[in-house]
Amino acid sequence: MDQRQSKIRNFCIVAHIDHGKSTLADRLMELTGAVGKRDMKDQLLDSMDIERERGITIKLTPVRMKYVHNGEEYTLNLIDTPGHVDFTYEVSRSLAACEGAILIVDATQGIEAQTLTNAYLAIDNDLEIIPVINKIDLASARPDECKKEIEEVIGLDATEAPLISAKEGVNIEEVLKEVVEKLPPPHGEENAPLRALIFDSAYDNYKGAICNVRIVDGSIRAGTRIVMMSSGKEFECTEVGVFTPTMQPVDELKAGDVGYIAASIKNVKDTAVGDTITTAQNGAPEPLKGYKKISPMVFAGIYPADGSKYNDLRDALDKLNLNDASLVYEAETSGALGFGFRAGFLGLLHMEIIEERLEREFDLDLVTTAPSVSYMVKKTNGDVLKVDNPSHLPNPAEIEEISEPIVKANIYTPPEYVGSIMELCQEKRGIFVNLTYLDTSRVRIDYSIPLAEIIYDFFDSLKSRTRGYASLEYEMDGYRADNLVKLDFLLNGETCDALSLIVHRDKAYARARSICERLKDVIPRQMFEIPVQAAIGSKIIARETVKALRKDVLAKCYGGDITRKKKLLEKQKEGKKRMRQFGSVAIPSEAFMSILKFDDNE
Amino acid sequence: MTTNRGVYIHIPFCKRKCAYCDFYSVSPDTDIILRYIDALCEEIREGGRRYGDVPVDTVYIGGGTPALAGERSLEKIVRALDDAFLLNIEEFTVELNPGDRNPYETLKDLGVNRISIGVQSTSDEVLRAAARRHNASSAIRELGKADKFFDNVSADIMLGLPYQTVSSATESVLDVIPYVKHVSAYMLKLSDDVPMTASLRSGEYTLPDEDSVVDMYNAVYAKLAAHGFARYEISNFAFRGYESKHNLKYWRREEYLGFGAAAHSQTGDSRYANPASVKDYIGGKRFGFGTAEREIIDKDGEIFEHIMLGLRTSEGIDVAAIEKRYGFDFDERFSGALTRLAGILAREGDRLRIADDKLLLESAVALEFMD
Repeated sequence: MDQRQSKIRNFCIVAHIDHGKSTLADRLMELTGAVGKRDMKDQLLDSMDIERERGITIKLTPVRMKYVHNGEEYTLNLIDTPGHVDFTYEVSRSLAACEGAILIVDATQGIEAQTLTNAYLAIDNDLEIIPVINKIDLASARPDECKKEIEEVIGLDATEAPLISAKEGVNIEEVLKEVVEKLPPPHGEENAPLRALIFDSAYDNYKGAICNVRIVDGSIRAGTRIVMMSSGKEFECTEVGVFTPTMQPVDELKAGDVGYIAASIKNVKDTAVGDTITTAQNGAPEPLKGYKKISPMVFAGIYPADGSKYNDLRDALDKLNLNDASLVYEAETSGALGFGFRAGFLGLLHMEIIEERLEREFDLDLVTTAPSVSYMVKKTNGDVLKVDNPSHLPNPAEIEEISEPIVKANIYTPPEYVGSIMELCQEKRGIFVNLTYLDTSRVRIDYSIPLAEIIYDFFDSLKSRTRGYASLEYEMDGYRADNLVKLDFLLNGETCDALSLIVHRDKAYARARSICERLKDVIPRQMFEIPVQAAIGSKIIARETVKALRKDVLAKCYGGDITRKKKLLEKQKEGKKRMRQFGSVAIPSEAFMSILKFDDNE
Repeated sequence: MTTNRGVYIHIPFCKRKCAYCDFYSVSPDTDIILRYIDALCEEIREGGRRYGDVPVDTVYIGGGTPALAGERSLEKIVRALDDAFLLNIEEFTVELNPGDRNPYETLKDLGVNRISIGVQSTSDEVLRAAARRHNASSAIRELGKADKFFDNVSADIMLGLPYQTVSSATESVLDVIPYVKHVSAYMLKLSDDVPMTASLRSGEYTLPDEDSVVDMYNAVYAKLAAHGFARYEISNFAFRGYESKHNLKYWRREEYLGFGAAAHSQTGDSRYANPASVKDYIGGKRFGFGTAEREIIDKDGEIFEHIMLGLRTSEGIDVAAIEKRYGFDFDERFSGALTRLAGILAREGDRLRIADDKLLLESAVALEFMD
C-alpha cells in the first residue's frame, strides 16, 4: 500500500432530509479548521440561497480537511451529494468518487425512506458505511432503538455508531476518528495512465468550466494535454487544485486525490458528469465505468410575464446554463404567451429550482406552462417525430401512433403499504413487473410506469399513502405506445396553445372537467361571458363559463376629482399588465400553472 | 374653449362624519368657520382677478354640510362671487341634509335655484348603519320643504349600503320621486380609511354582494324610467331639462373653478387641487396663491379624459369634435380598443357611447383606451 494514499479518506454523508447532513458537514469543517469559525455561516456547503432555504443540496461542493490522528496527518475529502431523485445520477457519480459514507440517522425519527434509499445507493457503490446517530441532545432521542433499527433494517453493525449532536457540536471528534479508522483509503495506481472521474462541474468567469474530479489512477499537473473520453475533445490543463473549500491551486493531483481541473474549457457541456478525463498521450485505454449521457426528461414552456423581457430571460438562461449543463432550452413561440423558451429538465424539482433561480437571481417574472414529457409520434406517412410541446402534435388524422417514455420504477416500502402502492401504480397506468421481499420489513416493488404519470404528483401521492416510508427510484426504459390524445382548451372559442396537454384517452374526460373548472375560477370576470371549453380534436368534451362582469365603476368624479380617478385606472392597468391578453380574453399567469395541479380533487 | 365656466365651492364641515364618506371635512367650530369663509371669499376674489374674463353660469356649493356655514356666510360667498365674476347663472345648487336648519328662503333670495338633498336611503336600519344623522321620516319631511320652495330638487340615494336590499333601495326611490326632478343613485365605493371599512373588517355587518348591488341598480333604474326620469349619466337620472348643468361640465371636460379646501379646478391645460386641510387653506395654501397642487395635462391626457368622462354619459363622446379639436383619426388610433369593445360600445353617427345595458362597465371600458 502506498504511503501517501493510506493517509487519504474520501467520503460523503448520506441521510434522510433534515436529519442533519449539512450541519454535520459544517461541524467537521469547523473542527478540522477548514473554515474559521468567523467565516462560518450555517450550512456552508449549500452555497445557493435556495439550497439553504429548502434544506436541500443541488450543486455538489467538495471540501478538503486536514485531521491529525495518532500523530499522523490525514487528508479527508468530503464530497457532498444532492438529495433528490431528480439528481440520482449525480448522486451515484459522487458516491463513485468515494470509498466510504457516513450514514446519519436522526435519533428522534429513526430510519426513514431516504435513509434507506441512500444507504442502499452507497452499498450498491461498494462504499464502507459508518452509521452515526444525530440529535442526541433532544429529549425525544432514542439512540438504542435507532441502533437496533440500523442493524435489523439495513444490516449494518451499529454497536460503535457515534452518538452525536451536530447542532451542539457533541462527539464530532468521534466521527472523524471513525472516518480515519473504519473507512478504507483509496488504492489507485499512481503510475498508471490518468483516469479522473468528473463528479461535478461549474463555471468560473476567469478559469472557464471547472471539473470537480476524483483522480482514480495516475496524476495530472498544469500543462498536461487532457482528453474527455466520452467526446474525445482535447484541452490543455491550465490549473489543478483542491477545495479548502475555496479553490486552492496545487502542483499536482495524484491517484486518490479529490480536486479540480481547469483547462480553459468554454462550455460546461464539455465537462459531463460521469465522464473520465485522461491524458492525450499515453491515455488510459478504458474509461471508468458508469458514464451516462443525461438527457432532460421534463419539458415546459418558460415565458417572461412581461413580453418585453424576452431578451432578459434569454440572457438569464444562458448564464444559468454555464453552471448547469443539464438545462437545455430553445426558443419557441406561443399564440397565447408570445416569445419564450421550451426548456428541458432532469425532473420536476430541477424545473422548480431553475424557475426559482430565474425569478430570484435575475429578478424575472415568469409564466410557465404545465410540464410535459417528450413523445414519439409515428405519422401515417411513416415519419417519426419527437414532440415535447403538446401544441406541436400533428393533426390526429396524420397520427398513426403516439408512444411515451416509460420508466422502470423501483419502490422500496415496508410490507404494510404494498396494497396501496400497487393501487397507486395501477391508477397511474403502471404495469406490474415484480415484487421481492428483501427481508421481513422491506419489500421492493417494480413497476413499468409512464414517465408522464410520474412527473406530476406520483412522488407526493406515494409519500402520502405510505406516510413517507416508501421511496422511489426510477430509470428510463424506452417508449411504449398507448391510447394518447391531445387535450386542447378553448377560451372564447379559440384554442389556447399554452394550455394543451397530452393525456390518456380514458382519463381525458375527468381531467378536462377539472381543468375547465379551475380555469373558470382563476380567470377573472371580464366584459364578455367567456366560454371555457376542453376539446379532443374538434369534439368539445367539457365546458364551463366565466360569467360576464356586471359592474366596474370606480369613482363618481364628483367635485371634479378626475386626477384620482385616473390614478385608480392606472393602478388597474398595472394589474392588467400582469395578465396575458389572449384575443379578447385576459388570462392571469396562474391559469397556466393551474393545470399542473389537476390531481388535487380528482 | 371659452364656454362659460362652472364654480364649485367646498364647505368642509360636518357635525358627524358618515360611515362611508371619504370627502374632506372637519367638525365645525364657529371661529374656524368664519375664518374659513373669509379665506374662501379672498380666494374667490383672487380667482376673479385671474379668471373673471369668462362668465360663470353654474355654481355648486357642496360639502361637507354647506348649511353649517350659516346664512350670513352664504350671503358673503354669493357677494364675493358677484364681485369677482360676471355671473350669468343658469344653475345654482346647494347641497343640504335632512334635519338641518336649512334656510330655504334666504337661499332662494340669494339666487339658488336647485337643491340637492342627501337622503341616501329611507330605511332607518340602513341609515343607522351608515351613521347618517337623519331618519326616513325626517328625510321625507325635508324633501317636502325643499319642494315647497324650489322647483328643481334632487335627491341622493346610495346603493349597496349595509342591510340594503333590492326592495328597500327601490322603496327609497319611490319615496323620493314625488318631490324631485332629479335623482343621483350612487353605488357605494369604500376607501380603506373610512369607519365603515373598519366595521366590515370587525364583522359588525356585511355589504350586499356585487350581484345584489347591480340588481339594486337595475331595479332603481327601471323604477325611475317608469316615472319619467331619463338616465343621462351612470348615476344620474332626471326629467328632461333637469339634468345637472354643473355636473355635466365635469363629464364634458369643460372648465370649472373650485374654491375651498380640497377643491379642484380645471382651466386650460391645468388642473389644480387645494390642500385637504382647513388649517393650511386658511394659512394661505390655495389656488390663486400659487401653492395648490397643479397637474399639467398634455394632449394625450386630455383625449383620454374626454373618453373616460364622456363615456359615463348617455350622450357619450362626440368623435368628430374630438378629432377636429386634437387633429387625429379616432378610429385608427383606437382601433384595438374599438375591436375589443365591439358589442360594448354603440356608435350613432359621430357619437360614441357605451351601450345602455353595459354602462356599469364604464371603468373597464375606459381602461381599454388607456395607452
